[in-house]
Amino acid sequence: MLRLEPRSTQSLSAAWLSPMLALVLTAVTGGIIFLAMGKDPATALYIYFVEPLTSSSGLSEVAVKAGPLVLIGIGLSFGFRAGIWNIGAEGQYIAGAIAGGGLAVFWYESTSAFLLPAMLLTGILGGMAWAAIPALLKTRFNANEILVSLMLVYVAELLLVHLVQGPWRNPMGWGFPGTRVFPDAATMPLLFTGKRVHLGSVLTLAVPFIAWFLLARTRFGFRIKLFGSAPLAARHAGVQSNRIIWQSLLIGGGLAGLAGVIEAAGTIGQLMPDISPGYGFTAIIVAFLGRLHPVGVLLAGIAIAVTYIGGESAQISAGLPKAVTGLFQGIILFYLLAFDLFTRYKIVLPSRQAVQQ
Amino acid sequence: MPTITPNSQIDQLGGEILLEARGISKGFPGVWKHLILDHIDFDVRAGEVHTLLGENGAGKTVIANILSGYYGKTAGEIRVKGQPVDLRSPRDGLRHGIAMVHQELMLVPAFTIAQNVMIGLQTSSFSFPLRKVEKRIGELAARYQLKVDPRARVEDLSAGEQQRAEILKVLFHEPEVLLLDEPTSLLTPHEADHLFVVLRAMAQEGKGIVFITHKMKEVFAVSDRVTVLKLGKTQGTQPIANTNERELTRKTFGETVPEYMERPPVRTEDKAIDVKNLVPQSMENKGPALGLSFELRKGEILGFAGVAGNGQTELIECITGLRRAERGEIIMLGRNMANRSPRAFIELGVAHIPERRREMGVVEPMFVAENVVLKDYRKAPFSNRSVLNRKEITRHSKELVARFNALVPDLWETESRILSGGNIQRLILGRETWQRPPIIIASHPTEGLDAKAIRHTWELFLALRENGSAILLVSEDLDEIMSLSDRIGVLFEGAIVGLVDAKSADREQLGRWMAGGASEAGAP
Repeated sequence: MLRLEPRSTQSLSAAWLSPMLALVLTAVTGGIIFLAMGKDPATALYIYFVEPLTSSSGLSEVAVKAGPLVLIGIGLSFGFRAGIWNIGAEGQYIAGAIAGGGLAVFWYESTSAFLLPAMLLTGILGGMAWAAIPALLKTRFNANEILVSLMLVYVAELLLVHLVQGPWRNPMGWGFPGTRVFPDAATMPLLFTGKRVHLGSVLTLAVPFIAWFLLARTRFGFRIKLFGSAPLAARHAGVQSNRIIWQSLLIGGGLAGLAGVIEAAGTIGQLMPDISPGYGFTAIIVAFLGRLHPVGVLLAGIAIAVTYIGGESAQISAGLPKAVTGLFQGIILFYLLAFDLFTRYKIVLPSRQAVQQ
Repeated sequence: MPTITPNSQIDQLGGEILLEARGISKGFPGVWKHLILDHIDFDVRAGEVHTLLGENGAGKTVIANILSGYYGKTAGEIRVKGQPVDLRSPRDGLRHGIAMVHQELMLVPAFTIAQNVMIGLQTSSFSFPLRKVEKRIGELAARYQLKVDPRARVEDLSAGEQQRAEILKVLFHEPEVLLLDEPTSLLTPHEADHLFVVLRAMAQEGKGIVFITHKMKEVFAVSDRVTVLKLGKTQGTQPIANTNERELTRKTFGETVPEYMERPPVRTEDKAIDVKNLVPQSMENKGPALGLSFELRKGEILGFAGVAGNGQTELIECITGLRRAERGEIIMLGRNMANRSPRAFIELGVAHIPERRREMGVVEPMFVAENVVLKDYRKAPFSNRSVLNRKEITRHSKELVARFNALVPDLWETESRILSGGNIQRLILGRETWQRPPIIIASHPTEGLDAKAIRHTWELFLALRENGSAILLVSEDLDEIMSLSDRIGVLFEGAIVGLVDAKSADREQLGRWMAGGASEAGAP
């Protein structure tokens, strides 16, 4: 009989192989489902997983979709590593969009080259400010950051709706909720004409590597890991818990805010009630899919983005229902968690169980 | 040296064989190449106390875990009353009347003692006889005089009290065979003696008792037979009457532990620690109103003996910054450190070898090298301008691991959770002492180490003392306190009762103080 035995050391190959295997099995399972739905599995899978990556417009869309997921996911992974459960990134994303987008709303005729950088900065600050609330309440009153950060999502959503329907509504918008369209100086430059991929994607691409360096090579990363793995030992080693709580929440909030303002200034070009299709929540899955490792989060963000884009084109060209996207994300997550077992355990074949004399 | 195999003993001892191991072997994946247990034969009969003796890493705990169903075996056979059995879980063990008391506690901290007992009971989902269980625990506690409150939450108990709870939890199942893994490690000599009476009484009732220890005196205090394990191999089983301390010591350790460590007198009156009227947080109503006061000179070792739960933890946490001081002063190297942060204590040069080594001493999911620089990562050469220098960390870790003989497969691949308690302690000792800190607060520094490592540690402490370090030693182990300290105090209910010169210390007297006897030597 096969047996599982705990690994004494982490296996790097298992850590990389298990997501690959999970993807393969997702494809197989998906194929069976398509077959059951009366579709040709090969075609459907092609549309789903391959097509978004073969055309330049597909790639552009994947980049646009993956950007916010990766930014937020990396920010969250700092907190999750430290054992700080910020699940209100959606709210910090919206707060960042409001804070950064607000500049474009006030200076809607500006042509200054400083406007966009200023927006990115205030976007980061906005997200940080939103995350500072749970940080303050946790460090002062030991309030649970999960509840506080989650509830602040709804506050941020309602604040956005209030602004775009009230004080910031576009006077020339025929009453539709939404601000003025941002001026060119407040818009992310496009990388290629005719494609939606913009400068934000390039900025996003740099973040995983900076994050990796911070986590793996600095005292700051060491403290995060130390605090998240054993709070008692961290205290013994002189790590100040309040400092870690503040730092990890502010990084998570700042990156979510940056994602928010990039989305508003890039893909959308204005503020409106639904500036996020739930990026802040999906990013939690992305962070864990990527094993809280910055490069892993980058890959996971891209993979989830592919399922979104593939799902859209599958609806259009293969007539598959929208629910298939959610189904695929569920299946991937399921297999990934299942295969996670093999990073901690290894299979022992009966022949190796025998005692060597 | 005559070794007698178990089989030749059957006629002499008479009692039915309750539990029997034949050729038990165990290999753990990855950690060590050799077998942890190498074809062990072992049995326990009704009415006997059978002691498993061996130094750390000999495999005592592993065989007990296999016999009680916690671990699987790689090869061999277990028989209960002659019938081969397959123990796949502790529950299987209990079903066959085999129960184990672990050295490391298996209790849910947030639950009361009674609730912890309930976890292991197979009651239907709708009955929750908590009151009955509490009453039964009270009875068992009274019968075996293991003083605990069934309604006390485990996290509020001291380590010693938790162990009593652990023993009661297992006794609740009325096992026929009871395996106890180093049960005396947290007990006073009096309590240990008492436990031996209890164990003898249980044997008299017809139970088979497997008693695991590395302390020679305990072997002769309680056993009928003794089996010595050394590095996973049995050194034979023999009736206690057929052997003596010297023979067993030779079989177990190969060398003896010195009784008293000679050293020159303390050279200076300079105080390293001067604690005045200290009342730690949460001790306001438990300890003496005036708090604790004591002094520790540079180059002196002050030993605090006492049963766990008498204020040791609170005192240590206060003088390392981990707990608030309600009142009083903590003068260290001339500075008042009361209520400073743990970081401030580290920077002052206060090393701390904590009691809870797995939770506080190391970060279990982190690698060995990372654990070696747990406190020093902030400083050059291990980091410069907040960037870690892995090369330096590796070099330093390699050196430290070698110097302190820690058995570590790899510095950057081995998570410290897989290391044995003894190896973890070696890492902590190395990390806390390599810089020769001016003040060392050591809690049970040699617990879980084998005789050789204990002696190395004691020699290390004396060398540090010679170098001017002030060492506060808190230990349950009177042997350690007596052979290492310059002065000895006893902590009882948050107060220091008796503070005597180690040379004139009398074991009996210390034992009485530990048990709450009034100080006859006058005020400390």
